[in-house]
Amino acid sequence: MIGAGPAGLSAAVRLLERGGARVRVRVVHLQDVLGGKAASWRDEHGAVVEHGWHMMVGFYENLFALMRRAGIERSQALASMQGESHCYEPADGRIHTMSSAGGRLAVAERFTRYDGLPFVDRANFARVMAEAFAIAGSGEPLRAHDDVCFDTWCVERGLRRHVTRYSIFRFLRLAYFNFPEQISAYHVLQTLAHTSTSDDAELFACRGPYTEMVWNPIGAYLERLGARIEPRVAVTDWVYEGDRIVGVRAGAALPTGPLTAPPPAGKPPVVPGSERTLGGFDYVLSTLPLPVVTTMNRDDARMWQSPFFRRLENVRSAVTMALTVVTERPPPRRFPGPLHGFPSPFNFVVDMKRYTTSLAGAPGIGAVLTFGGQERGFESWTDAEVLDFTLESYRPAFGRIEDLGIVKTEMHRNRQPWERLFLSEPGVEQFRPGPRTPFRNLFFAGDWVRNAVGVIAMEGAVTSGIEAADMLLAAAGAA
Amino acid sequence: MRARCARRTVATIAIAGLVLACAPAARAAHPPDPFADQYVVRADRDVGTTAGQLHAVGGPAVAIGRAGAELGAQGTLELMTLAYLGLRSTLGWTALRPAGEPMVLAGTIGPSLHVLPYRAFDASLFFEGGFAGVDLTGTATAMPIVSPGLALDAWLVSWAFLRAEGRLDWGIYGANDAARGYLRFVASAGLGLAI
Repeated sequence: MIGAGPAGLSAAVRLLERGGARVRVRVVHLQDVLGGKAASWRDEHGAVVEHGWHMMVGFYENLFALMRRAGIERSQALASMQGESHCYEPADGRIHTMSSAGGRLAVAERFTRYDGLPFVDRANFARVMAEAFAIAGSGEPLRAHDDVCFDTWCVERGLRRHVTRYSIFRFLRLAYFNFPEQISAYHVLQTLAHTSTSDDAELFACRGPYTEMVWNPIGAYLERLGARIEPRVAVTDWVYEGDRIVGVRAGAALPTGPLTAPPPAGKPPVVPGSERTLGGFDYVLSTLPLPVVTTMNRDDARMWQSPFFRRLENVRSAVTMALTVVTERPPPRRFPGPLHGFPSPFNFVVDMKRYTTSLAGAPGIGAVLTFGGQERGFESWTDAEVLDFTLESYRPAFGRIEDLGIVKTEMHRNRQPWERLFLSEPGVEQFRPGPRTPFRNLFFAGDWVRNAVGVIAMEGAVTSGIEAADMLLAAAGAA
Repeated sequence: MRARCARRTVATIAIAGLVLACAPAARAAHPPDPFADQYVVRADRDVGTTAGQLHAVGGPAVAIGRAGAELGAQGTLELMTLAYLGLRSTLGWTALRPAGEPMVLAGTIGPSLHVLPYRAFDASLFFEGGFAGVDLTGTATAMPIVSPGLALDAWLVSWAFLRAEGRLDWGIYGANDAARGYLRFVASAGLGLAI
């Protein structure tokens, strides 16, 4: 097993739970902590630094089930965001609250009172979204809608073009880090299909660092099942003979993550002279992120000109950014859910003080504003410029954040191949592979691999891991 | 004197402009937002029939038959399945009519073909069929009815339009143990809303 993010951990657990004593699993992963792109670290002062802010959503059935089996009490690990999210509409300069609580009728009734849009635009938007929900829930194959972006999909169904500029319409692009890019209509419809009830749409924040609250207990469960987990192993190339992987080139990884100086972009940094070929396996299940896969065996023209690998190069990824601003005093207004719609590379923010158990009553901390977004368009901006712009943009929500007494800021950009996020652009589904590869004993999993969930989320990664593990077991005749 | 004042004003403005132009611009702490235009809601200028629209039109109607003119009202709901193909349903009622003529409440449904979608002026042909209740407060007879017609739309804004419509209502109903033909040319006009 390569990788110990949500996909790797779920796949390894599945292999051992389903395969029983006939299966032995060795997990190698790059970082010194578990969690992959959802990992967290602690700096020298003990402060938590997340790869980026993550939330869980009510429809994450496979992840919740995995947490349950690992002994994680959901109510201890997660806090409900009370079904609320908040949307800043630059058109009227106000912040509007949306709630998914109650039944569908209650949600629809509240939407009729959402005054961020003029009435006629609201009616037009509601009518098109009703059609989108109907199609999403119809059971028809939604991949057929992947060829256009969601903006165009809606305009083709009568949405007036200017409505696409309202923040409420941009919400899903922001949530999936697809702004300024467009998002595939399939991706949005699939999201609607997953979140058609209030329970399924409920948002949860983690009450502490993800690695400590979620991934470490799952890792401990995995070790109890018999797996061996080896951190700081950087996989660099495949070694194959015919249609079988016979070795994996790997080395001792230098420290990676937001607390370390970023290495030059490219392959994971390896301690010089430590590269070796890992062998002694029957099957390899790789959960490497796609931007890493596309750096492997680059000199092998035959491999990269094959139809399977060549199409992987059509898929793009996004550089996500994370910013945490800790203030001494609380802002004048507090928002329970994520707040979005502000012009900034950081498309949303959550005040994590109320959700983080260790911070809830901490003196001298007024707010822990945790921002997320993607870098596109801001690549040449310095961190100071981005910070200044963000603090200025979010004034309608928090006033002058500088006046709250900034205790600490931490910003990082996830630029490395192993940090980047799959971009669910229109038309991308045709290039997204399934778990099987041309190598008979190599399987792929990860949020970028086709799976039943489909959307780019931890649940998609976990589900992909389960599906790949099932295929591997079937291929091995061990299921 | 006036010319001198004007020259002085022009000179003052020119000097002020020069001073402002040469003054060091206040340095922004960050470059301009590369996506600023994405947050501006454009003017709503798109008019015309498009796919997915739901039209609701209501207004007075004049029905002209052999016995003279009748006054009534009608309302139409029309769902555009494609930009040029709609499914419409109309409810029509004759309120004021010459003596001896039946009061009709008709409900019909059928396809419509829009020939000028996406434009400020649109024309559509339709063919509806359905049933009408004849003299519902008296003998109360049901009558099958067909209604071919033509509608002209003039869009005012993206969500409202004026519609003028002409159609032929034809049916046969029973009265006093005899079959009676029903033929009316119905002209109507009304305000339409599109969501």
